[in-house]
Amino acid sequence: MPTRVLREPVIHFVIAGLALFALNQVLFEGPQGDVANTIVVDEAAVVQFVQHRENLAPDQALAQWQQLPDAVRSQLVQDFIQEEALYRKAKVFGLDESDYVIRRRLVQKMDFAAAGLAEAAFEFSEGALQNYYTIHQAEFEMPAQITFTHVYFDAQKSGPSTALNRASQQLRQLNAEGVAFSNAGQYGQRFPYHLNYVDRSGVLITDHFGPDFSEAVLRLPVNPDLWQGPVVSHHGVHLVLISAVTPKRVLAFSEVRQKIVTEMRLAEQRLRSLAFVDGLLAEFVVQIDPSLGVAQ
Amino acid sequence: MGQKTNRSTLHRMNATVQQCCFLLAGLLGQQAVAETDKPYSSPAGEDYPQNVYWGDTHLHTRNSADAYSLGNMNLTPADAYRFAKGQATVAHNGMTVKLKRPLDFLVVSDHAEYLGGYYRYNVGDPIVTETSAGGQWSGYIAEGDPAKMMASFVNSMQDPENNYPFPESTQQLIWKDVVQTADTFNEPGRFTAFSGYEWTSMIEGNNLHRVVLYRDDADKAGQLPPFNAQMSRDPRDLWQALATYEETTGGQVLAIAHNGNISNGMMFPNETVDGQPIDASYAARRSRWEPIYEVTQVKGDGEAHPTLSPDDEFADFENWDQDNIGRTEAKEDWMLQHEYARSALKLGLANEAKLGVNPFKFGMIGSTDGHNTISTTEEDNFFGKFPESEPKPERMTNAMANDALWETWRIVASGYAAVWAKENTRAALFDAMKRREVYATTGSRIQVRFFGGWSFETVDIDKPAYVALGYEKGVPMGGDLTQGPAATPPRFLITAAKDPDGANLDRIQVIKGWQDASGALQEQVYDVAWSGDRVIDPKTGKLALVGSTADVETATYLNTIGATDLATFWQDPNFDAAERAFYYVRVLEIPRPRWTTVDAAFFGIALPDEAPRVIQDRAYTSPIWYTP
Repeated sequence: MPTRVLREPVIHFVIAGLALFALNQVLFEGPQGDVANTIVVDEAAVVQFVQHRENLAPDQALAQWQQLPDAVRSQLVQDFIQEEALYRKAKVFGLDESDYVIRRRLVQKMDFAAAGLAEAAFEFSEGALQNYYTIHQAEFEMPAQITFTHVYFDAQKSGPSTALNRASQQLRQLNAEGVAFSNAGQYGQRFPYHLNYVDRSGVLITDHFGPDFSEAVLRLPVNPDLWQGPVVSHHGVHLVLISAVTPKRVLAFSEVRQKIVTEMRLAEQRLRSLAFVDGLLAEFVVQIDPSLGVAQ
Repeated sequence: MGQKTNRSTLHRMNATVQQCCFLLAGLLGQQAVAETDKPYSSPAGEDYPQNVYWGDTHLHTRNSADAYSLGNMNLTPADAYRFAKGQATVAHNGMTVKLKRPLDFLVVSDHAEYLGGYYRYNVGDPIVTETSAGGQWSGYIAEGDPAKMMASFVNSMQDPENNYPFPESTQQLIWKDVVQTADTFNEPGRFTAFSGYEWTSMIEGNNLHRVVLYRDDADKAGQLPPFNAQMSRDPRDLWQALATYEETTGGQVLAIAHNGNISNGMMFPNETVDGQPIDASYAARRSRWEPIYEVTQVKGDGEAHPTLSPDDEFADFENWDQDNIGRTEAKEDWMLQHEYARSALKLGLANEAKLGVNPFKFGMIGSTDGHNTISTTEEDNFFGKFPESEPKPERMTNAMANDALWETWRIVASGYAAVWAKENTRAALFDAMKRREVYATTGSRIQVRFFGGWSFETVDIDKPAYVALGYEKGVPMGGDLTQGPAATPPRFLITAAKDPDGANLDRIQVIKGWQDASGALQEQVYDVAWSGDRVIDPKTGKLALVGSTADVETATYLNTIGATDLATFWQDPNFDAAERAFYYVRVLEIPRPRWTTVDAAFFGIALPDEAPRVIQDRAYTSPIWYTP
């Protein structure tokens, strides 16, 4: 990417960067001074925000703001308030004045990491992990999987009733001769997708055959020596030899323990983030111009 | 402020608190899923690939410097894997996005240069801030010129002496985190998460980028940090580094080039980057390390170009041919033959005749090159390349990278890598890529089979077990034919089935390239199967267009034309056993509204005059080569 491309995004980057440094400061040291603590949200402020954020001309920004649906406006106002609060806090910490301030923050963070506080802060008890597992059972459910082959009769070429008749006759022959899984391809017609389906989920079967077929075939008994059907799909008629079905199951706790730790860590971070920003915003009085039509 | 609204606005802030645990990802022992050469599941039935797996080998997250500075500040590799596996994600535009069908595999391929660096700098990770680069960046910010920091991503490749790369210890720590994350999300048999990165070589604004993809778990892949363009911008040095990796670790790795279309003639060259004619050593190493090529992606489709293939009425398809990736030099016609896949395959034949080795013997895949962590390709569910090109009215009029690059509407909702394999594991998918049993689509999940051999019969194509016959009597896509029976042309079995959730099929074509007796390179497009009762016009040799059911105003279409599946036996009517050749298949869908048309209808906005209203999404198979 050429140098000139990278000219513009810097503004976002720097604002976000300042916000991050500010967050860190408040988390670990607490505020050092007073912030002008009233955030006034009127049209001029919001339009300017839109203008900078979207890189627009002032009149474009105004036009865009005026066209926005209420929900988006409301979102935008919340974003503005947050950014303004973080920005002001950053200024209080002098983050706009000196690289030295940033350096000090970094040194503190190094101490923080070196002390192992970060790890300690995210230890979860076995009970808490188990509890998460119990509450989120649905997320650990594995769909049923099926292995089968099939003999196919095209209903578009020969018509549905002909296909069905041919299938019924073929069914008797397949079972009488004990035709094996690996010989299925010697009978019927070419199917547009696969001949054999190995350990595939209902989602793929539905994709290739339609929902009715998928539901029906997953309900049939597993019998590697018995041709079953006819089963109708949205292509035609099928005789199926089902050699294995792995029923849907919930993964054991031991199989997902590491995932749970990861998910709980992310959730904990999210909570801390929310709590922190809530706390920060509590320091401000937010005044939203009623003419904007955005709820507080 | 209402508590509820407040919380809902904060998802974007999640990462901001991660500075209190920025080292955790690396410190927490991630449980790796061991995978060996032994198959995970023993497939029932025949011993050949029976499944096609869909994935994206080229996706960026906030770990890429350009993605981060263009607004992807929060979405991580973990988010990329979760999304690919079918989980809903909140995009940067605030919309919730979800794939209709999950992917089977994903390579997170962030730029190796300052990998993870901008993010870690911004949250104050000392492994970055305490480096020479970090110090330099802090200096830029203190001087009030942070633009210089942004520029250092590119400058560090062109001038590493004055733009310090990270020390190896930093690279190693960050890379370990990347490969361990891939291991965490890798689930053999269900979802394959590959470790990978992008080597972002650019020479005078010309794109030589390669994605590097590992077959291995973190214990091998994590041993050596990525080879980055700060070390060298010469592809030969990349290949050497890949060889070193394999020798050191016993692992396996390959490289996938992309965007020849913005390389201004450097992607499939006659000369090395230092101006020497390519030789047999170059050819052998290139075909060894680069078995497949990413032929289609968001920054343009690179199969064919109308200037190179004036007789191919479908060659003019989503081409990006203005200039190079740096936008430093306008395109000239001579460059095109060194940029497009069809032409490169032809140049490969000529080089093989001259050098004894074909440097450009590659299979074809598509991928997205998305930079917003969200891999999407569907025309009616397309979330763009950068946060700025996620769905919103402005993306119809803005341009990429804060208006510095090409118009956003030109972005192509493309593409996918389709891989024929026995099972969904790193080993099985990687091996399929090595043998080139893969194909590209421009975003649809069209299923394509392509077999070449000498003894196929017309009736074989109607047999339910034609696939078994294909492997038994011939070779699949990516394979080789040689020394056929006298006076026998190569014969092919070809089938295509529509994306079950997509548009019907218009036609199957075979594209043949060859070097004739005079040494000249030739190409021919054959229509070999098509929907309806159309006939080939004997005067023009062309098949009539399929028509269109697309309604631009409502951005809808109907599958009332086209075919759900097509199949044919085909043999080359103009075969000369003395001439080296290749054959690949192109499958076209019927026209449907392009993503821009979908946006115009959804947001009620106007389309740019130049933007195509409809698109015929398509598949390109890897070739089958004939060598006398």
